[in-house]
Order: sequence, then C-alpha cells, then structure tokens
Amino acid sequence: MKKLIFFTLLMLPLLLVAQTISGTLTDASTGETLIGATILDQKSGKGTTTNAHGRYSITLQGDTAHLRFSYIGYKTEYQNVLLKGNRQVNVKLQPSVELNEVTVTADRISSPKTSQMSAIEVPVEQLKLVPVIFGEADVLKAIQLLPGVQSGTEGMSGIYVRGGGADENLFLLDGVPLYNVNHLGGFFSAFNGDAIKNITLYKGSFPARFNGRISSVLDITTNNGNDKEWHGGASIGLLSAKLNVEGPIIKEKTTLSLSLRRTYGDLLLQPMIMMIAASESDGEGSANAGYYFYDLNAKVTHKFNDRSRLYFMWYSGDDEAYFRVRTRYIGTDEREYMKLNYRWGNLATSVRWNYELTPQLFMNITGSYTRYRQHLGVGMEEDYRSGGQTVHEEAEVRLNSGINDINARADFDYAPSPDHAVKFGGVATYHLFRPNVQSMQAHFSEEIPIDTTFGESSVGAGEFTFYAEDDWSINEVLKINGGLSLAAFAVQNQVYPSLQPRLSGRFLITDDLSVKAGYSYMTQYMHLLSNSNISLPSDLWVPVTARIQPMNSNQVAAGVFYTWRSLIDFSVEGYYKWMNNLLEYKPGATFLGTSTGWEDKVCMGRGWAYGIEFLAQKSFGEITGWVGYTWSRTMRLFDRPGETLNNGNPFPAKYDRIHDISITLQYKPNKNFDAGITWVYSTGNTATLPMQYISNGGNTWESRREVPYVESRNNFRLPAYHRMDISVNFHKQKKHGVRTWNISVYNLYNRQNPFIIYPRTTESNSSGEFYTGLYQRSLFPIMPSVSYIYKF
Amino acid sequence: MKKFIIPIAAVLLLTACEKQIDIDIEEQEPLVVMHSFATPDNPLYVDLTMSRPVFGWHSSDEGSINSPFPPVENATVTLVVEGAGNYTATRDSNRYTFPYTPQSGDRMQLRVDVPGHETLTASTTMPQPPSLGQVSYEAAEDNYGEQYLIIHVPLNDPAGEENYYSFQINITRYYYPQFDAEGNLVNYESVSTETNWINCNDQFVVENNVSDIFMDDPGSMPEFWGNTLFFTDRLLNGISHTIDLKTNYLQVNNNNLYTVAELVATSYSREEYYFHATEKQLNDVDEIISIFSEPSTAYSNVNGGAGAFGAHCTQVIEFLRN
Repeated sequence: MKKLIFFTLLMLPLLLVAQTISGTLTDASTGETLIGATILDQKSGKGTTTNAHGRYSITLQGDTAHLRFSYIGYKTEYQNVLLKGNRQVNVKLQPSVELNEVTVTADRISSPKTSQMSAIEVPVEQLKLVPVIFGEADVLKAIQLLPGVQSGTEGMSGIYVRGGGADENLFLLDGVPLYNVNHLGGFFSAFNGDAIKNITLYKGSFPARFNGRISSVLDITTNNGNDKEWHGGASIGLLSAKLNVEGPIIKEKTTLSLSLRRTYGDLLLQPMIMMIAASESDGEGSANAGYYFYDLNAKVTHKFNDRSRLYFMWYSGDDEAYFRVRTRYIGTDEREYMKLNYRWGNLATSVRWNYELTPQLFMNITGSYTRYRQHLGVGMEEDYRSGGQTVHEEAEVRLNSGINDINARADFDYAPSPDHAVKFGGVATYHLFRPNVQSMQAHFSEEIPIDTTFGESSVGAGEFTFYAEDDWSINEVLKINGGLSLAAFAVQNQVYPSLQPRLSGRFLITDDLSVKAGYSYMTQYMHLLSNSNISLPSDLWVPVTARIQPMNSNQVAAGVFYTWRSLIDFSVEGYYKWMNNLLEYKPGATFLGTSTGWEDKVCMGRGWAYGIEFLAQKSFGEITGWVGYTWSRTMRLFDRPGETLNNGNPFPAKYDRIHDISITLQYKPNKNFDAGITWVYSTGNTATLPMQYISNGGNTWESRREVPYVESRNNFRLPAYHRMDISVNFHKQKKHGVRTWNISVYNLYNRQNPFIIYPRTTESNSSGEFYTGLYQRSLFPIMPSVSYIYKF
Repeated sequence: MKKFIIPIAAVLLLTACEKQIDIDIEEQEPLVVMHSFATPDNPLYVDLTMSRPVFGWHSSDEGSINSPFPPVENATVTLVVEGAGNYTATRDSNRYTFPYTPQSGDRMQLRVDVPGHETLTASTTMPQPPSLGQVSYEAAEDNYGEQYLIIHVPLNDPAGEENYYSFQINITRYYYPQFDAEGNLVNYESVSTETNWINCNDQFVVENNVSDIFMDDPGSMPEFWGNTLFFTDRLLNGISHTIDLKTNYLQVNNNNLYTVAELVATSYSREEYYFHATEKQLNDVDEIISIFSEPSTAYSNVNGGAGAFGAHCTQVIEFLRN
C-alpha cells in the first residue's frame, strides 16, 4: 500500500501539468491503421509507438510539442501541437513513392531503441516476395527463413523455434488462436498472404500479454480494408486461385476486407474421373473424387468515432478429400453407392471493440470462438433384389475429433507518461476437447438397426490468465519491460496454477547501438499427439491431465543490436532455454489417430536448447531482405523411472540442426519489375538408425537371434539440407489495374534433399551374398511455376 | 536452346527420386558385445560376441540359427565385487565364467579387455528377492464357461529405492496321475509345463507397463495380456499392495489331471529390467506400424561396447496343487 501511495505521489505533479495527445495513425491512401509507427516529441525527446490498432497516446509537459510521425515505407510527418488540454491528433501518412527514398526513422520492434528482443517483424510485402514452392506465397515458409526458426521436413509449414516442438507455437490471427495452421499435410499454411497486414514473431522475452505456449508466438494482424475506395485483386497459379476485395461499405466509416483462396485441381480432374468411371462401370456409373482446400478471411471494421471502433473477423479454412461412386445396373432397379469423406479445418471468429476510455487509457474487449475439427465418414448404400423384392441396406461410420475454444478477454493500454507504457488485462477461455468420438449407423436386412456412438467423451477445461506489464524508460539509456502473468488451468478436478515472470531490458550505448537481455517463463497446458513428421489431420490436441503435467520453459537471452545508417539492422543474440515436462512417445508407440490410453504411450522428460543467432535485415530500398545464421543445439533427457528413453542419457532432438543459414534478397528497381532469391543451408536432421546387429544375449523372447543395435537415439545425421529458389515478377499498368506475371523456380539447382531414409537390400551377387544399403527419397526436385495476378 | 529444355527438365525430375546415402565406415566397425545376467543360483558368467554391421555385403544365412555371431577368443574378463574380492573368468567358447556366485546386495563391476578394441566396463547390483505375502487364489468361470483363476499376490515394495519386477505363472499338468494313501503324487502317464498367459488390469502395475503400447480398444482401461508381466514400482514405491492376476485354461476338478501352479516372481536390477523391456519392444514393433511408430533401441549399460550387465533374483511360490 505504501508503494502505491508513493507511486501516486510521484506521478501526481506530472499528471497535474502534463497534457495527453492521443490519436490514430493511418495510411493516407487506404485508411489502414499502422501498427508500430513511431511518434516522437523532438522537443523533449520523448516518444511512443502505435499499438496493434494503430492508436497512440503520449503525455507531455510544456506549452508545445514538436511531433514527428514516422513509419517504414511512409513519408515522415511533422506537427506542432499546442499543449492546452488533452488533444486528439489523427495522422494520415503518405506512402513513400520513391523506392530509394530513405524516409524511415521508425523504431522497428527489433531496433536498438526498443526494450523488446528475440522478436522479428518482417514487412508483409517483403514476405510476399520470398520465392516459394508452386508460386504460393506462404508467410510461414518465409518465417522459417528467420534465424532461430527451423523448418521441419522439406516443404512443410511447421516451425520449430529455439529447440521447441511444432506444438509449442502460439498462432494468433487477430488475437484468436488457431490450432491447425496447415493445408495439404503441411505443404501450405493456412494464412493467405493477401489478407495479412502485419506479422511479428516472438522467439523469447515474451511480453506478459502472451501466454499458453512455451516456444514462440506468431502474432498476425489482418487487413481492415480500404475506407476510401474499392480495390481488389485476383490471381491464378498452378495450384490455387485467389480473390480479394476491400473497400468502404460506408465511406471512412465501415470497411470490408475479404480474401478467398481455393485449390482447383479437383475441379479440373472431375470430367476425367467421370469418363473413367463411366467406361469402367458394368452399368450406369458415376464417380467423383478429389481433394481441395480453401481459406476465407473476412473482416468488417466500423468506426463509430475517433475513440471507438468495432471489428468483426471471420476465418474459415478446410481441407477435404472425397470419393463417391454410384452404380446403377442396367435393366434393374439395383444400385450401389459408396462414399468416403475426410474433412478437417479451422474456424475462428471474433468481435472486438476498441474504446479510448481516457486519452491515456485504451480498452480492447474481445469475444472469440475458435475450432479445429476433423471428420471422417465412410458409408455405403445398396439396393438389390431378393425374394422378388427390392432390399435396401446402408451403413455409415463416422469419426469426429477436435477442439473448441470460447474466449473472452479484456486488454488495456495505459500510458500515464512517455516513460511508461502499461498493458494489463485478463483472459478466460473454455476449452472443449473432443479427442475421438466414433459413431456408426447401419441398417441391414433381417438385422436390428445399429445407431450407436462410442469413444472417449469430451473433456472440458477452463483457462484463466491475468497479466500486467510496463515498458518503462528509466532514463535515456536504460529501459525495461517487466511483466507478470498469472495463469490457471482447471481440468479433471485438477487445477494447475502458474506464475510467469517476464523481464527484458535495454541499455542504449549510442542512438544506433544497444545491448539487451531478457528472461521469460512460459507454461503450456495442452499437447498435440502426432505420430509422424508431417502434419496429419489425425493429429489430436489433448489437455494436460491429472497425470500429464503442464510443459514449461525458462529462457534467458542477451544480445547486441545495431542499426547502420538507419538502413540495416544488425543483431547478435544468444539464448539458453530449459524445458520441462516435454512429451515423447515411448519406443514403439503409435497413435494413428486414436487418443485412447495416450497417457500410457508417452513419457515425460526435459530438454534444453542454446544457440547464437545473427541477423542482418534491410527493410526498405531497392534491395531488401535479410541474412541469418544460427548456431544451436537442442537436447532431450528422459530419465524418470519407467519413462526412460535412450537409456536415460541425453540425446539430440530430431530437429537439432547445428548450423542454419538463410539468405533472402529482393530486388525492386522500378514499379514494373521485381525479383527475389533465397538460399538456405542447414545441418541435416537426426534419425535413429541401427548400425550394428548384435546377439540377443540368449534372451527368452524367441523371434530374433539378432537385434538391431542403436548406440543412441537420433544417432544418425542425415545429409545437409540446402536449396536455392528464385522468383521474378513482371508488373504492367493496365486500363483498370495492374497485372503481374510471376515466374518462380523452387530448388533451382535440383538438390536432392532427404525426405525419408530407409535401409534396403538391393541385389545379390553370384556367391549368394546380398547388399544392404541406406537410401533416401527426395520430395521436391526443381519445381518451376507460373502465376497470373491482377489487382484493381 | 529450346529443344534441350524439356529433356533436361525430364532428367532432373526423374533423378530426384531415390539416392543412396554414404555411411561413415567408422560407424560400421564391429563392436564387442557383452551379456551377463547374474543370479544367486549360479556362478557369474559373461557371454562375449562381436557385432555385425547392418549395411554392406552379407551372406544369406546371417542372422539365422546356423550363423552364430563371431566369438571373442582372447579377452581378459575381470570382476570386482565390493567387499568380496576380485575374480578372473575362464573361457569356454563364447562364455567366460567366474569362480564366484553373487549374493543379494552385491555391487559388481565387470571389465573386459580385448586386444584391438576399447575396454568394456559395466556395473550392476544384485537385488533382494521380491518381498511377497501369502499368495492365494480363487477359481471362477467366465461367461463362456471357461475356467480361470484369480491369483492374489501381496507385494511389499521397499521404500526409497527403485524396484523392478516381473511375474509369471507356470502350470505343470500331470496326466492320469496316481497317488499313494497319503495323497502324494507317485506316478503319471505324461507331464507338461508351460508359462500361462496372464491378464492384469491393476492400474498401479499396468500404468507403466512397457508392453502395453498397442492397446487401443476404445473406451477400455489399459490392461496387460501376456506371459510375463514386467512393471516398476513407480506408483507402488514403499507401499504394500495386492496385485490380482488372472490366468485361463486351468482345468480344475478334472480327475484325469493333476495340476501344480507356481508364481515366478523376479526382482531385477535396473539394468536387466531395461534390457528385457527394450528387447520386448523390439520384438513387438510390427513392421508396418513401425513406419509411424517411434524407434525402439536396445538397452545397453556397457561402456565401450554393447550388450548389458544386469542381475535378477527369483522367488518361486507354489500356490495351487490340485
């Protein structure tokens, strides 16, 4: 209590004489809010940045303020503001026309001036220029190219951050968690680049407002939509077609942003499948089969006034594989029908209300719903003649699983002075896990109809989090971000509380050079049961239980940050991370889509990861891009009684890649042409491979005299992974818009990177001997692609 | 130029499928393999063999019963038993035997020197026999009229230490038995002894049973079916607990049959327990399932080579004679 009184007394003189300027920064041409833009009072040297909704608040003393508003890719604006009473100053920044123009003075999240570290903000336009497979711009695959982030298996969208697992990343789409971020087994991510405005990846030093995963947070903000005029674009590539439109429903009041993506291969193949079915059928047959995925992003934003906005966000994305065959026998009323339908995907929707309670206090209330579910249905129907009558029989088996979250949260930004940026709030989430529900309906002649549901029942869980953090400029040199998060997870009559401290600090040596350090503790209350290296829709999310405890991680990081002539950001970061209660499958265990008894099939252990990351990033100019290098190690130890792996000795994790290099460059000399090139190299993945056969020691288990001997888990290192991709875009102004031809080549020099390895006995010689070799299969050879884009 | 593009592209595409990976030859160097499982019933012995590389050229009968692993002929094998002296083994074929029979509580260290190879070392401790109370049983019939027994096994687990156990049920059947006036078995036409399949759904035991990983009957609780129930005291540490075992196919009340049933209860050193557990996993992993399953690795506590050095202590309790 004494501290509170002291703090209030300390702040009182400031509050009495200071005035607050608040407002919103937007793009002058589209009305889109700008996230992370910098506002600096050149007179006092105090500054702040816009929040995730483009809002800022700065409290200053004196008669006037000389404000500078700046953002990457925009012309800097200057305004003199009289400090007489609180003021609303909304600023519209003009996009920079000249590509070479150096207009950027904004404090990017990883710049030397911020207290945040272990976070990377990559401009979305830059991510879209990164060449990728099939010409499909994919933000997750671009994120994989950043230091500290490992990709999983080739071509997959999974990310492994600083030694964490694929299920330890929190993907937030406008603040709503998404559980499955993959399409087509992970070859494509669920994020349509056309719908995205801003992406920030946090690898450590997590601000207290982020919770629920132990390795990373990928915070994605979608476009609000142009509030002045309608624009849009359409594109068609080898795999998918995309359409996006945005514009004002009510000018400068209500906007809509809509993006749709769908693969179309199934539609093209349909006539061929129908022809084959007709020719192969004994009677009148028809068939259709195929696979597709789609994403739909929609956002409606309504501005009540300068202080109040309402957002409605919708995302749905599904994959579906289907197969249906109908046969009608000629001259009879007999017929057969078989179907298989496998559908999986996400739905996320939210309603959000922003309101400026006072010039210094900004409120954000969100209600959201997110769901991941999979459905497998297999059925048949048959009509046939028996005893002079037509008999009808039918059966269908369905398998459903998924997770549903209902979430309510309140977030507040409080800026009592330029030296403090306080955030606090609370989140309540109800999770409903449906790991595995199977149902069967059948009606066969002369038998009792079956209509039953079985499998594990749903598991409900409540998760509550309260957080508070302050970004505090102690003086010109020292700035800290301290926070605390209190979380609790209630499941199966068990409550797991967790107090999670977060702290990061910056020591500014010069305006362009700083040293930062941070610590964070994170807890995760759910696990993804997966039994393969690719993302299968059958992977199941399950909660912690009375037996399986929450995962947690402690991470410390320190680094040096330098900006060279306001052009290039350099950073060197080192980190060490401890992880507890990690899960691995017991030797020989398999899930294959069933969650039954899963607790018996896993063991709990711990892990640690450490490394050094180098990054040089240039975000504007003719040539942009980044060069990243990571040296890291990731280890696991499972030595609890009854749960040992690798004889209780430490072993490298599957994605323990010691060296990881990525070079990503984009070249944009004029508005008619741009090109991108990417080169990646990493140490090969590990694999568990027996190199020797040994005697079974006369063991009583009879079936083998020899047993394969593995010296240690993940003892074998696969060949190194590397490839180069290029893409070029040719733009041309047309009467109603701009058309673009994109030509991309994935794996330009046709590197045969291992996708799977396996032993194979290949040949025998004349003396009756045979040869066992180790072989690999590659997935993607050189892959050229072309796509057409039209924007109006 | 154009005429070359398609053939070049076709060649690139076709060659991208399968490729052989070079194996570091050092990883293929044969290892000395040591297996030794001490009991209080026999002098300690060590079996020494050489390993065979997985990759490369092999004769067609390698791995078969006709092709034993290469022996180790010129090894020096020594044993140090804390508080009980040092011993050197003598060789007979692959087996090196010590003039020493271990006792419960013995802490043993083995050393194997083979010219041209790294020195092998391993250690283990002979456990105490399982502490069991009075074993009892009851006979019952299932819904199909099949007879089975429920055997109650009181286990007193010592506190403060890791303990590893296995249970087996051995059934000996004497056909057409003849008895003397005091009811002792004196003659019979034939006899058979087998290890029965047992069933256990005790959650303290089955919870971490290593062989139960394929149980996936929806809605049912984990349970064990097999002829050797391995378990640790992870959930039993320091407590007394009665474990129920069920066993089938016991023809009680049959005048032409005389049955003797025994519980074979064994306590293991940690090393031997994990050796058996991983061996069983290796046998259980189905080839097809293993595409999706986690890899199994053979246990070894031998430094400088492969194999295992462990100890076990068995107690046989006859609980039925009928």
